[in-house]
Amino acid sequence: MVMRVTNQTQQRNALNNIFRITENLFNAQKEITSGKQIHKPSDDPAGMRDTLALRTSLKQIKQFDRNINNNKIFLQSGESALDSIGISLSRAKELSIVELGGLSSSETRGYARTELESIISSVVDAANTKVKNMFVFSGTNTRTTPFEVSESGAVYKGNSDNLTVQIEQGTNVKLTIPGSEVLATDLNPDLNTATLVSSLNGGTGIKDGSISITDRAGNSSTVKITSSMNLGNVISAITNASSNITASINSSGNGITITDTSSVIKNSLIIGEVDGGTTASNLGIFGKKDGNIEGVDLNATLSKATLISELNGGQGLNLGSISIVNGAAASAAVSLSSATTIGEVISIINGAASGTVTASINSAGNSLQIISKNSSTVAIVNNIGTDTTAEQLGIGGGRNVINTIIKLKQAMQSNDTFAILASLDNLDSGLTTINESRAIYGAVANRISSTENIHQQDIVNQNEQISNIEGADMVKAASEFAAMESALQASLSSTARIIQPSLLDFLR
Amino acid sequence: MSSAKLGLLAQQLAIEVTGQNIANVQTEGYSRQDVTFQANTPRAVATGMIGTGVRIAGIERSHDQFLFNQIMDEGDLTGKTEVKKEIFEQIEVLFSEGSGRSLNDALSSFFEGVQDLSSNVQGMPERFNMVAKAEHLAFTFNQTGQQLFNIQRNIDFTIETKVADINSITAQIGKLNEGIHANEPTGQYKANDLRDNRDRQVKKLSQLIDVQLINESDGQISLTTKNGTALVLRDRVFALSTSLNGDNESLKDINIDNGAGLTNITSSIKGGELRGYLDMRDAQVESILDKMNIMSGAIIQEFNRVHRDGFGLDGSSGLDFFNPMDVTVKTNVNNKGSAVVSMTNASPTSAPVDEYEITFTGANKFDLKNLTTKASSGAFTFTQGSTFNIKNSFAVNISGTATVGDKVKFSVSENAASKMAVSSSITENIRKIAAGNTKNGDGGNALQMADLQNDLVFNSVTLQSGSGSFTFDEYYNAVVSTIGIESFSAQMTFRQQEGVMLQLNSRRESISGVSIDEEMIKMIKFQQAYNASARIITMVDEMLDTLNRM
Repeated sequence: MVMRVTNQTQQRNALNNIFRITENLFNAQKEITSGKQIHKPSDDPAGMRDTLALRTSLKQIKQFDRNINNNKIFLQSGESALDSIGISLSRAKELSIVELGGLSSSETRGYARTELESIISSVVDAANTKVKNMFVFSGTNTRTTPFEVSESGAVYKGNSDNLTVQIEQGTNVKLTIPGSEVLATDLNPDLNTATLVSSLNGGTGIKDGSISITDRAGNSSTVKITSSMNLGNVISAITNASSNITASINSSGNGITITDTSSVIKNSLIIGEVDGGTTASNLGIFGKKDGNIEGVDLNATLSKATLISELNGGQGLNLGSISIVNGAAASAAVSLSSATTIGEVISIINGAASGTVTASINSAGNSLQIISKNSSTVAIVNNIGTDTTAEQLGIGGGRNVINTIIKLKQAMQSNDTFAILASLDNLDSGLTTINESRAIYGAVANRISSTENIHQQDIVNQNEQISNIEGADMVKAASEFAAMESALQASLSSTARIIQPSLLDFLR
Repeated sequence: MSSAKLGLLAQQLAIEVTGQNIANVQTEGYSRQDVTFQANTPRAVATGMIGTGVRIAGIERSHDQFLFNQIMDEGDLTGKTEVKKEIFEQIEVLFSEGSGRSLNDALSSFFEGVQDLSSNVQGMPERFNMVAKAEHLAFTFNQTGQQLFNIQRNIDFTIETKVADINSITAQIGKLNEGIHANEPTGQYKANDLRDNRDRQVKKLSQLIDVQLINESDGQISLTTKNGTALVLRDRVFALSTSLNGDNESLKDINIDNGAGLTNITSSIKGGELRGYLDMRDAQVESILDKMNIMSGAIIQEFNRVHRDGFGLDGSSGLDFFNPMDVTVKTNVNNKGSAVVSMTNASPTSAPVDEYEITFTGANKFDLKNLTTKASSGAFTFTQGSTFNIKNSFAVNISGTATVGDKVKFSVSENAASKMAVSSSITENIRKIAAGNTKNGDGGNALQMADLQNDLVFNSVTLQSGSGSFTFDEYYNAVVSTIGIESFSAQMTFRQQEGVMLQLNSRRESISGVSIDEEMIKMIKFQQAYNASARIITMVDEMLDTLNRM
């Protein structure tokens, strides 16, 4: 039987085809005008996923690039600060050599002193350089002025950490070198239970006050802390506050850890302040955690009881010998290797050099200082050979650059030839340290700029990949558009002709 | 003369039927009707039998029952896939990442803001920027969560309308059954237009729900769903209704009143738009919404965890960056017992973000199931009124007595996407953003927060901080591409289904449709036959005239 083609069939078929063609036409047009072939996830699910991942990765790379560009300035300022300090050191060395010559007198040494004063202030200015309102040489304590200078010498107030920046996934580079590695010494002792709370936080200590503790079982208590306590007292006071809580010195030995052993937990472990105080914050345990609270570095200062093995964040020092010059040629080497505490080091030094020098802990509590008992002489300490004991204790050459120049100034002032001569050694080793640090900056800068190049290349490549995936294939889209256009015309005109005639047109 | 008269009448009727056919040329579902002529019972004369004219044996509609059943079968699949395609089109708008709102972009911009902060901790612009980016991220989550919820809600409303549609259709079918039965007393004449109407209603119904058609011997039909639930038995109609389901999301289940009370048939509906809507509401949209909630919950939780470790410029610490999530507890509406479960989130930075269900197995014990991973989480016993922990994170207190089988659901990530917000203590004082590992102005903690972008925090289903295998981005991208794949397959199936329906309908049209050409030919045919019959009458009249004049 012949297929009966009825009016409704014709109409429906025509409409269907026209809609189908116009839809394809619309899609082709959308592809051409937007330049994209993926508009919604179903257009190409896998392609969509890939472009999303690529876009994220692209943004990340651009961000790393921005990290580099925004923070290069730290390297540049650090480098140029060290450059200028190096020049100052060289000038100081020149002055010392001149003033050791036959033509020098107390008068010329007086002029040299004046010049050294301005050299000192320019060195301190350079050491206290700020970038983006952050101090470059104070470690991560970027809001603390790193060097404070007084008549007796310079003290370092920063810490021994590095500022870092992420330059690619998983890679952080050091942006700054802390002052304690290049311009001063920070002996950075660990905590023990005998550490007095008054010696914490760089000697600021902890004032009388209370902290509130809420353990995870929901029990609250208040613990009183007084400024005369030692850490052992603090730890037992906190531990006794709740049966669920144990306080201890953390494994890295620089802060307090609060461990919660509640069997049924109802909330986070909270340690807070009482009456707007700052005790908890000063103890480094202020916070709220779903677990244990790891306190921050409490930065204890030195005391005579501090063990040598507790210095340098618990790594300890390997003490050797030093040489002391005070108003006379250097006496025999002073051996410190038998000392086990800071107090012993101090008493050995005090007993050396015929008892003419006084050793003590500096005002920042992070290194030693040595002063002559005789106001007309200046005590200078040198390393012996390749041994760096004097440098490490903060009393000799090497990285203790600012104090070296200050001592030199004092020597000029006192017209102390022995001291000027002994300073030469320290100036030389200071220059070496500065140059070594500049080399570190140079290496980081190289590293960063090669990474930056890789990033630039990646950005180009990934952009290209994205446009490969989601970009419209113009030739294909345009030819599709043309094909659909003619198909539409054909179906419109054929529809017009097929729908019109019916037998009615031919009757009569 | 009388056979000529019968001829006239018969042709007139045929013309009338043709007129009816032509009038209904554009009527959807109309079946053309044909007049069957039959020679009248002959009369015996001396020389044999002689015809006594014509009579109408019947008016038949052209109808192919087999084809109709096929259309009905395909109807429920078409209805289901059409719904799927349409809803996915709505969902895709929310996830068309390229243009307009883009969660992927908001997320990576946010992490950019964190990176910027890490490299300039003291910069107020960087802090403002990071908070603004975080708020934008939260807003994007809110919108996506809210829109998905709205879609779900709209589907629920649509289900109610569809149930009402089904009821009105089945009621009409019942009425038509009655009408057809009453109008076909002899079983000889067919109530064609009523049958057309009924077919039309059945076809409409088959788009809405899966139906099976049973032809009863008396011209009536009965309809059941594919698994045998009766919808219409001759003139008895069973109405559908909706009632709140046990999910506690004010979504509705479908019941049928089978005369002896309501039976829940939600899961036994197998096809049609109704199934499509139910699937989308309870499976597809729900699953996407769950994933968005889990993702935003994971971001909130992970970010807060790291943020709490750090210090703000003002020395503050232990603060949450995003508002922490509370536990939402939902007691099943169908519970028989009096147990009241109250819960708090004791570990807002490490609680699992999954959805859990408690099923009581006794007055003092219950089984716990993780609905997100679909795994059992063990059995618990408890003492009424005393607090205990679940998952080392939830502090639970149960009072009252539960009946065995009572269910309670709980989750921290419920509506996490639509509720996500930056904590007001941060927005009010941006110095509190904990960018530092200490209060001294380092950016260590900001770096750690930025590192979360590349942390593998998800397994394939949910948050698994520290030991997952996917990042936030990868999890989200997988969600988007799943939506894309589902939507694409829905479009393809629908297009196929459309093709099948088009073909079936053309087949039906070719059998039952009206062709004007054909009707015109028939009209001319009948007109000529009418003319001829009239001619016979004129001739007989002339013959009588002649006779009279003699």
